[in-house]
Amino acid sequence: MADYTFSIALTYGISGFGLLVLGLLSYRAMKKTETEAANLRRMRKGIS
Amino acid sequence: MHKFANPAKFNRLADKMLPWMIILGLVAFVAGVYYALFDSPADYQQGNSVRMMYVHVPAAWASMSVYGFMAVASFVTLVWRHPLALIAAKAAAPIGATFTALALLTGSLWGKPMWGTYWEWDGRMTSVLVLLFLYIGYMALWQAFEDDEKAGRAASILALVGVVNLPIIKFSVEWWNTLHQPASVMRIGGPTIAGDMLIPLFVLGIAYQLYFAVLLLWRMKFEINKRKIDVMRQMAMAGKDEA
Repeated sequence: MADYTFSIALTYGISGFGLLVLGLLSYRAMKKTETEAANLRRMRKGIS
Repeated sequence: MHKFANPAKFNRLADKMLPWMIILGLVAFVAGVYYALFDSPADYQQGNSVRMMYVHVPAAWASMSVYGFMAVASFVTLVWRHPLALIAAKAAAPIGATFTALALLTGSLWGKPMWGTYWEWDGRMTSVLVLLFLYIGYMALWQAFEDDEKAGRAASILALVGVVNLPIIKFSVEWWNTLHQPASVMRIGGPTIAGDMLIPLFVLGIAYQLYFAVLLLWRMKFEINKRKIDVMRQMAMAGKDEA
């Protein structure tokens, strides 16, 4: 029976990489805006 | 339904749910991949290449269910003007596009050893490619308008029109003579796959859905924060102008 190790590794690798990158980008974008919103809120409170 | 339209309430609820969903998702991913690679049998015809099914099929399921979710959210947006529904649809699009791209890529990699080709313009593969274009078109529409309200309405209409593609994907293998195999899990008369293979398939199917839910909440929080920042900046500018 043929050995499909390379194809299987590539399939799982591409899936893992794709999901991980999407997850990291989503989390980073969320955290960045969360920090920015908190900073702006603090600045507004400081001014008023 | 409108009681969840309050972003502060949504954020509180999301923050409570996220840790549990992340833990459950991780457990499902680790268990599913372990079962798929080490504890499930090789297929009597396809041998070990069947292990590619365990990442291809959950991605394909998720690509369709995310589009269904997006269409329902778009319908709620257009009919009831629910603000969080629009944010949810917008947040779901890149996740669905990624699942669809992964389904096409992994299917192509599985197709080469099984069919002798990476790609064939058959009903199933072509209709899934159309799904990817629908996701891309939806995201492009958001970028095409400067006014968010107009962009949201146009994108919601596209999402609803595109729903017609979901039954085409599902039944393409029955309507046309395709290279892609017919349905073997979600079919009338029950699955034709062995139980030992169904376990990792369903566990990874759940893992992909949980992952979608986690990413959706993160992306919705991102969209809400972005809107808050815009409002605060506009208020600050208005304050400067008055002074």
